[in-house]
Amino acid sequence: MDAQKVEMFLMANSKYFEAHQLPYIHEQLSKMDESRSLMLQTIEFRDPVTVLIVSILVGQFGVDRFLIGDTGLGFAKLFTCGGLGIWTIVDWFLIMGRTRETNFAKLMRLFY
Amino acid sequence: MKRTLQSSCASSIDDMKRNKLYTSFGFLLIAGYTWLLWNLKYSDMQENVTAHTICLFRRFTGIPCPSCGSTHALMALSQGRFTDAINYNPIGFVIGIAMLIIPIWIIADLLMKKESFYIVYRRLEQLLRKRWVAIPVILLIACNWIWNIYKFRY
Repeated sequence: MDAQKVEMFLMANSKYFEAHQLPYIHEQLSKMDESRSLMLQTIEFRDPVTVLIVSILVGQFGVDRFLIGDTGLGFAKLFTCGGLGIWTIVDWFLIMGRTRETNFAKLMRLFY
Repeated sequence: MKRTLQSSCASSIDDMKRNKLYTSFGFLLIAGYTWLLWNLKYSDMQENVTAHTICLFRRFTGIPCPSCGSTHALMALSQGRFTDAINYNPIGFVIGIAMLIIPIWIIADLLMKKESFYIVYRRLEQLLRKRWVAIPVILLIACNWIWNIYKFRY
């Protein structure tokens, strides 16, 4: 993918990833061929802040986990009343990092 | 050479995910058993439930969540009262079975250095992501929730 497109992608999407992942993403995107750049636009990334808000409001029902794709943990959270309430609170702190992790994993699938 | 590096990276990421999963379930189980045993010893089931609830949703809105009453259900199950357990919350059965099977499974995996629980968990997760599975499950949970609201409104 050409340098300009890579820069544009990073500018628009840096909030979806951890800061330390950005150089690696830059490198991989530059090496990637054009045919995959279309697929890049089809990936659905989750905004960590949106997921955080969801976690605070309805985190008890595991909706935050469902949004990121942690379906199993989402159901576990739902069945245990937000992990006895403790998991709900713990997730308020963990969920943003976890969202960025899953966003990164989605992006990585494109490269391999 | 690159392939091997990639696949060994992938397998160590998999290892990390498996360890995280086992630790998460470990914590959940310990918390769950502690909560259950504490309740069995100290709480009187006739007391006003809302005062002691751990359900943040119910504390804030007064409306029960789909799994409210599952502690009571588990307590009833541990005393052999199956009809009572269903009446408190059918989800108690799901939790009860999980609380029995999962610790044994995880410990067996750790002892035999396998990851069968992790593999089955991943498959179940993929299954649950499919619409034709997820929708009926969500409908069941919704029905249970409606029943809960009907039961617990004071």
